[in-house]
Amino acid sequence: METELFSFISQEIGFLHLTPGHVLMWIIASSLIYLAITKKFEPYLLLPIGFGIIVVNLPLVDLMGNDDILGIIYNIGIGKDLLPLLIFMGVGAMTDFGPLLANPITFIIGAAAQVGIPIIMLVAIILGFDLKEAASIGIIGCADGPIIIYATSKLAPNLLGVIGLAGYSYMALVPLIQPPVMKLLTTSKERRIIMKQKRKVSQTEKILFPLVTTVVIILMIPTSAPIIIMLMVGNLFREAKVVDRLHNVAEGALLNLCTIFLGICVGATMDAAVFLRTETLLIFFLGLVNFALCSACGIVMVKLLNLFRKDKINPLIGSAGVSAVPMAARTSHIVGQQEDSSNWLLMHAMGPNVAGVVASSVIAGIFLSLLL
Amino acid sequence: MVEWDAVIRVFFISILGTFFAMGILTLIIKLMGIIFAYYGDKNDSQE
Repeated sequence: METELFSFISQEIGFLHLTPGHVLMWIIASSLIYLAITKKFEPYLLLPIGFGIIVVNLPLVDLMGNDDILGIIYNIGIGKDLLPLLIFMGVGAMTDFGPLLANPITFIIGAAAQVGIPIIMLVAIILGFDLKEAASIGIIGCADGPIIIYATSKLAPNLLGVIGLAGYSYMALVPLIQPPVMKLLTTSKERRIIMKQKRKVSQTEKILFPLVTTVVIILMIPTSAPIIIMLMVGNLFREAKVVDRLHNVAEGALLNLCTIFLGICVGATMDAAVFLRTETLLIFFLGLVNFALCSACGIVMVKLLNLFRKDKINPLIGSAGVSAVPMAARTSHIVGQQEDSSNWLLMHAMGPNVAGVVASSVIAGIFLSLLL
Repeated sequence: MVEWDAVIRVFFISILGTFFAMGILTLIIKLMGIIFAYYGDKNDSQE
């Protein structure tokens, strides 16, 4: 009897199986939950991610097995790419591409803001990561959560939790990371540039945009098809103005549902044994440099374009070329206002901001095409 | 062992490919804008 009791206690009571790693992961998870609730840092993602981290680091509980609840959601939702792609449909349904259509040159700024991605990929390879892992680390710089998850789940599923967390954390920190880079690369005179009001975009153009973009991008980069299709069908629901129910579901209930499952599953991949390694710190460091570098590339591209343009573009909107919609555009606007309170950059910055969403889909598609 | 040929290939194709795709889109949307600025205005005035 005593032996059975002792055996039960030693085998079935979780407290006896707690490790310092578990406790450390709880502390990390609690910090994320704290930041989500008190600082409002990406609360819709950091909150479920934090909870996922806590539950997966409870000893004697296996939630990620093939027949366990989180395992089932993970295998279908992330293993089969369902959740990031459905979220991308919601992103399309929420995004107004009008500012991009009014100023198409911002497509190029969006492209330039992705240049940091392959550069960081090179650095990661030099630091010892293999090519697919390095490409996934590079993708952090696109600042687009669903794309980060989609590409990493295919290229380096072993790093999914760390890269997902790094991506979402830095997206929340855009207002802190970007302003120093923006101020470093621009003069006060450049920050005061007031851009001309753009033309009004007709509704027909807005409806044609998702159709044209889908066809053109998929003809050029077929591997980007799943991402582009979902983004653009969501946007078509929005702009068609005749399928309000579909639009509302895509940008509301469906997006929220997928966000819940995605957040918890990403958190649940962060088992202490997987997360607490030196390479995690390295990935977080590279992610930070990546964000700053991509922002810098966008700004430099605007300065290059200005050499050939009569109507100058305010270089502050260049940093909005990393996706992070609409946080990056807001940051451009705020930094511009600090220099000149009469300068309204928000709508101008939304152009490169949404261009960044398309450009990051393109570069992710190219990576998948070359590496899978 | 890093296969540098593959790395360099991915590096350049990803940059050039992104600029190429976005460049083509820029031209198409610009053209679309020009057409709609002309015909779109006419349609608006008819309405």
